[in-house]
Amino acid sequence: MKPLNGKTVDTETLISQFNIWLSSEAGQEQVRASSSKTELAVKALNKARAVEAREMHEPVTV
Amino acid sequence: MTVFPFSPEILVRLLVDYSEGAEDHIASKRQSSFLQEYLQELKAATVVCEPGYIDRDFLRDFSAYYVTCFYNYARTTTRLHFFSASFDQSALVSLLSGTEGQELSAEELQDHYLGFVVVRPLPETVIGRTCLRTYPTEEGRRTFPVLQQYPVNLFGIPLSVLSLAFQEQDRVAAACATSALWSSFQATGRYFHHPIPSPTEITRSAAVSLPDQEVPNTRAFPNAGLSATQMANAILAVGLEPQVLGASNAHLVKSTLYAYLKGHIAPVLGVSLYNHIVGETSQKSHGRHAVAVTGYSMRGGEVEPYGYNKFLLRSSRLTNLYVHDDQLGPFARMRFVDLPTIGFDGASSEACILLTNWPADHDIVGLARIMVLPLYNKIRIPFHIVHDAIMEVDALLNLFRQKFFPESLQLEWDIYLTTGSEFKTDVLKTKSTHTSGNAVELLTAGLPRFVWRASAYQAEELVMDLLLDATGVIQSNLMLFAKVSLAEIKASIIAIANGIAGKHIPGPSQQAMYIIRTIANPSAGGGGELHQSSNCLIKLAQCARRWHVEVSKVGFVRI
Repeated sequence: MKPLNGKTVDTETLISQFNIWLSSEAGQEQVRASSSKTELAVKALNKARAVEAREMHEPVTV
Repeated sequence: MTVFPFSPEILVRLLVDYSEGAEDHIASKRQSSFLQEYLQELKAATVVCEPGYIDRDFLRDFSAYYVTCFYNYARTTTRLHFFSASFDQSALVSLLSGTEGQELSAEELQDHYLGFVVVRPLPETVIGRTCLRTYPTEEGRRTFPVLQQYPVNLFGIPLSVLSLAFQEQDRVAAACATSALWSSFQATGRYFHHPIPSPTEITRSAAVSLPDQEVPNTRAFPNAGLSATQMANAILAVGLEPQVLGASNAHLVKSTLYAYLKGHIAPVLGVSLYNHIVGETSQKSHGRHAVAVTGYSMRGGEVEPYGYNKFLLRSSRLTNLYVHDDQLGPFARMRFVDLPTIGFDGASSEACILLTNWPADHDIVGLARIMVLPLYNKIRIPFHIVHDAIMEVDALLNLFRQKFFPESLQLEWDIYLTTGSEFKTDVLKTKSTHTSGNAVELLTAGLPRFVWRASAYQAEELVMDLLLDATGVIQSNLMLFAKVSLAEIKASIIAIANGIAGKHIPGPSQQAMYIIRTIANPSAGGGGELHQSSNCLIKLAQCARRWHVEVSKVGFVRI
């Protein structure tokens, strides 16, 4: 395990701090905001990945 | 056999002399100009002509088409060999006859061998199979992951060149899409062990869907072009699985091409070609074109973030693609450019625009439309499943970083297709820093033939390495191996897993959930052998051929 800022860290304490923040209102809000941003990015990528029927039939001629 | 000192003029002369082409036409051909410049860049000094060469690909096209023409086309070609050393005909004759005091040796010829161009005995489309060395890699800036070793026998002297074969379309048996597929099959044929069809055979297998109601004027021979559906047919015909993807987003194009190129697959990229004249509101279209992508170059420095969560993917550093463009030549450069998309039909603001090297009074750009991937049937898990799952995991990890470790750097991800064997070779190379005491267990474990690797870096240091099964079932847990070497990341992932279980985090996608749960709670993956190293616990789930990181028992970590 790599050092974290040169200190000894109790992983269990770290996890418990994370859990407290995650269940707080501020944490919840940030998680929701982040999730919707990810959702938007995935949606945009899925739209770009989809191939329209027209694209499948357009001949490549140059 | 004749030997000439290389010059652009000599090259044109030879292309004219050994084909049916008119000098003015050959001299003004884009392919001819490209080869002149390319060979000058490779520092060509001598060209050796090998007339009467029987080229397998031309012979198959000849027997399928040209032999039944009224005009008496020759069935043999001429092969031009290029060397970066200067020598004359007498030196080569002396080497071949074995006379004493030779100036030239076979080793020297190999050292200076740049490759060959087959000249077809046709009126216009004279550039046949061409295997030339690539541009210098410039300390890894340029990468060509799909190269093959081509053995050459020059009058009994064994030579070889590391390249990927190219040829221009003959506009009869092949249009650009056929030529692009032919080049792509050069890589997959050797890598996945399938027969490499000639251009005529590719066109014939592509045309099984003719007549196509959408393009009723298309016929197989003479061929005017293929649609994506027809390209997919040609891929199926060699026993591979076609995957056709849209390409209307620069992040998508860069990340997808990079991921598959690193897996030794040469994707076919379909573009719409346009003039680019600054200030024009409607750019002239030149039609659709297809190229085989054979390499890329990357810049150093910062990664370009993608999306609102600023996902950092190494492939965003791509600056150029190197493509086999049958209208230009092998390893032709296409540069990613950031241009306003006004004037290009149907282009979104995120469109992927590539500046070509086509000689013209103004820039000619390619607007990326589709990517066609010829995949081995066992590569079942597409790139986007892994990419999107990692993007989700990264967004959640980033939340914890911003809140608790704002001074630490955001993770930069590198996601690509590789093989279990290549992964092991890489582990063997980096075992002192990467796997610590687990190297032997990892190196001797069974892994699938194809795997997706997602590595996370902080300031070029590998801090998390994930391996996912590319051959598996999309609905299953694909995680094979994980190595997390930062306490904050491990703790964050456990907290995320707790958050998902406690419904504090809205349900992520299935694969993102599997990644998080597998790292946080390896016991969910079934029984197996437990290996403890000095820095982490790795669980080898032999029954499921899966590797998991044990993080729930880390406890206190000296850091």
